[in-house]
Amino acid sequence: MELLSNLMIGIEVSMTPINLLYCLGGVFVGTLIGVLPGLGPTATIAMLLPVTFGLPPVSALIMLAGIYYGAQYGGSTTAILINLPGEASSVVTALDGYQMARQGKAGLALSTAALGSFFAGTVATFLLALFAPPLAEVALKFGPAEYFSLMVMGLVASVVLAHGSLPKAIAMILLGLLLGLVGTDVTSGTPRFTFDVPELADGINFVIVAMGMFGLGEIIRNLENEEVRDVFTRKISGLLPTWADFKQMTPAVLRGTALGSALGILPGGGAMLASFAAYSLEKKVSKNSKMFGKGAIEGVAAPESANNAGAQTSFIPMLTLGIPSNPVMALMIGAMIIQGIQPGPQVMTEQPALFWGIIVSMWIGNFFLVVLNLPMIGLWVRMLTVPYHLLYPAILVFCAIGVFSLNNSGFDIYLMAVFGVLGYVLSKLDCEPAPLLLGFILGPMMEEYLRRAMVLSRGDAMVFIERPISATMLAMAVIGLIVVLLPSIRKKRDEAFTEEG
Amino acid sequence: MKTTLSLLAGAALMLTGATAHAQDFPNKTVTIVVPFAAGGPTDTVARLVGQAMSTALKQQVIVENVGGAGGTLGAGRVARAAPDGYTVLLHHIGHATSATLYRKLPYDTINDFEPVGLVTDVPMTMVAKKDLPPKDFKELVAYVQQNKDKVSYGNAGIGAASHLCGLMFMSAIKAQMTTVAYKGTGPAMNDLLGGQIDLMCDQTTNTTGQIKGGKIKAYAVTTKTRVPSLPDLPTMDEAGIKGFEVSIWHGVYAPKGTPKAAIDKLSAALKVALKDETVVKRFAELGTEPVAQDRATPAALGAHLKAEIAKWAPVIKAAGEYAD
Amino acid sequence: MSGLSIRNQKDFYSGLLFIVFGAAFMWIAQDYGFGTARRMGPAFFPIILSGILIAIGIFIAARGIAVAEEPMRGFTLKGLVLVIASTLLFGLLVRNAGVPLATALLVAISAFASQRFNWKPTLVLAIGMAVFCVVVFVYALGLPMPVRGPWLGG
Repeated sequence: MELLSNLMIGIEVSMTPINLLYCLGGVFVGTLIGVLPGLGPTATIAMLLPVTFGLPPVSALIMLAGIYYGAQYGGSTTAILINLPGEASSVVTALDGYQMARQGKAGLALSTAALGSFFAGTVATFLLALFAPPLAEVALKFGPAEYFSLMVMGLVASVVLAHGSLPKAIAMILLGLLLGLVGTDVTSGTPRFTFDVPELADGINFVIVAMGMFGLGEIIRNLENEEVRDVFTRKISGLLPTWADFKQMTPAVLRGTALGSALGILPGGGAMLASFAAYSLEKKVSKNSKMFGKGAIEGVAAPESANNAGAQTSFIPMLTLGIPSNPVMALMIGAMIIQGIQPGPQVMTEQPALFWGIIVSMWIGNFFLVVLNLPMIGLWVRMLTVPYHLLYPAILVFCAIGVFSLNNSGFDIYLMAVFGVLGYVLSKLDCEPAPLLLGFILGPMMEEYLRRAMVLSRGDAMVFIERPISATMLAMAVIGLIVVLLPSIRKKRDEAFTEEG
Repeated sequence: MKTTLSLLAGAALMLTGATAHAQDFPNKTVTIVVPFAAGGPTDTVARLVGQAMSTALKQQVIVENVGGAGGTLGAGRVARAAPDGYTVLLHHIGHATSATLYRKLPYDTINDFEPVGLVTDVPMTMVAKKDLPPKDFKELVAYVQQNKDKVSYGNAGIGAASHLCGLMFMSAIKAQMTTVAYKGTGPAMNDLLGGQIDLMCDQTTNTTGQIKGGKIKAYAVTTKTRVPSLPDLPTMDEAGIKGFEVSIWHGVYAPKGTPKAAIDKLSAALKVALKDETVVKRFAELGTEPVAQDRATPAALGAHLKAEIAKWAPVIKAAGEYAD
Repeated sequence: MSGLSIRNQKDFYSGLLFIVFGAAFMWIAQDYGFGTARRMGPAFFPIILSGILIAIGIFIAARGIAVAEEPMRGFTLKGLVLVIASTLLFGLLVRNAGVPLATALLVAISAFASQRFNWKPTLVLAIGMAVFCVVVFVYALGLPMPVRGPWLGG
């Protein structure tokens, strides 16, 4: 019954007209930011922070939260329409979403993403309301060893991302891991692979790599053959899912939601893995796995649900422990401090109106997102009919402005150009960029956790096997590796036999 | 294209010379460069102070975050900025320590800047996971001296205040712990809460909530005097390490060559801002307070900067840990 | 065809590229401390990773010699050069000359890469995007970007 009374407090707080307005404003701005490629929620929230000074704390945080999940949501629109993932989580959405768009099914992809996200957001919000404190305690059980094993598992799963050559996918992951290491080494302070360029001292921002490899790379590639690009987008089919589509996407949405909710709780990089993991899982369990990478509806439904669920549950460590799990959460904590609220475990008990108000507002915000965006889909799809020779210069501008907004530095734009060349060359060589991006995200985290675990265990590698959670995940990684490698080995053998025969 | 560019550059050179008029300063937006990411403690300080300074200067004051390389990127940007008072730097203790931590800094910490004034001293606290055996600070010192590198100490990376505080602590008690570096204090606090690491020294902004929530154990504060928001915690000096003092002090700097008139106006605005009710109230919630009025001056900051460089250089050199 | 000709250019060259990257990372990482298992140095992880990358690169390149596939299509030099050059120019101009000029030039130069380039719609698009960026990014979102940079007396 306590939950009920708590929820009542939340409803009371979040349903006031003014807070509803801030929630709506937040998701609206968020969607806008998300749709504009490269412009992330971090820069926007940072800019809006001073605006929130004058607001009551609850309103301020409701709006900032709205921007955050609104941006996550808007990001998938760009990923689907123009194959440009603005943040890590939409990289995998771009894989199948963009293929669907090329087949004239952009509307279906967008509505699938919207409905999947809404469902996932609802479930995750309830989880948050019911179990936030115990879940936060579980997350604390994750030490460096557990995180390292989780990353290994993620890496193995990511091999599945590629639909082309397996060795090339592995090579791309490795290249991504190495690129991710550029910057100052956390443990020793040594700047690595920075060529004495101070701008590289903190590493390369994900957005730069994504905008370069996906944005610029794709534009140059399309310029090779403009007729092909235009033909793909001329025909447009239904905007909303049919009953058959629903049946196909429902299990994917459910699995994605479960996986995303679980991973989002882990502050040390779990939410980032959510969409990747959901996509990989879906590709393995789906009957339709051959269609993945060629426009499978599950390939959009699963990662989008996982991503949104993860975005919601990543509030758990922030709200219950005061631990930021990503830069946006760090900003929210900053906003709390500016508002005079001391982040930490006592927020829940001392500020119940704030805590429950934010949680309830998240559900309302998710509802707003669907209502706002479903009617917009028609408009977005029509955007695809803009001739490409007028569209791509605009995309280029958004990429450049987005990258510039990261640090207000021209250097980042030069770097994006370098990754544009690299992305183009690699795509000419049939090397897909998605595995590289995943490696890029995982690289620095994996190394950090590995070294931290070894320092704390005094150099004893057994720590990865002695700790049960870590051991379980490593075992799953090994099984996963076998599952991934076996078919291709068998296929090779079959091919060899047929060639001989 | 080359000709267009050189034309543009030429036009630009002619125009920049003509804009600075110190008398009517400020007649356009003043930018405070924060050399760290938005949302962090330094950013919060800058935004609070910037807003109050804006009222005093009757001009808009905006905060620009130029994060990277331990704050040296943003500091470098200001060192090279036009010396007209419209671009200033708000940096913390890291401005003094980076002079030693970075062996090749792209600017001169003392000679490339004009000090404007000190802003605030944020205290730090020595905290531990909640089931660490020692009951008070004396026991903690004995415990660390006995267990040495079996005790793990988390910090937010080379050169971070948490790292420096640890170095100072270890050199004071003559015992080496195992240091574990993190990217920022957030993840380090996470591992402290989860009991993965034993000990950490972090600013009150981050620790007060956890201490009051009973999630971690606090042993001492690192300032000369006790902290009003945590009145039960002894200072390190009281608890046994005489003269131990670390605080994350913040200062405002302008590029070298900024006209004295502009510096004076900025310093005066800073003084007004530090008396501002909201600033005082918010600072108190951060576990800190504005510096005394006579310290928000160019002379006080200049002297403090030199003293702090001298204080940290031997500690960093002895540890042999550099950031480049 | 002789026995050792390159039958799959894509495989061969990508393998080669991976080998080059792996070697470069390994060569640079040699200067950093390798450390021990307990205290891994900054070189530990990169050297292991680049070692594996080189090995896989060799495997892919070797496969490119052995297994035949369709040949590679030519590069679009015009598209590559114009898109990259206009992006670099934007990076140079945005802080120094301001958002509108940088944006307009980025649009105009990159649009020239298309076979369907036509100066009239391009001009409209360039001005439109410049106005849009100033209104949305600088005024509405308040991003700290100059409308008129120091080169233009801002």
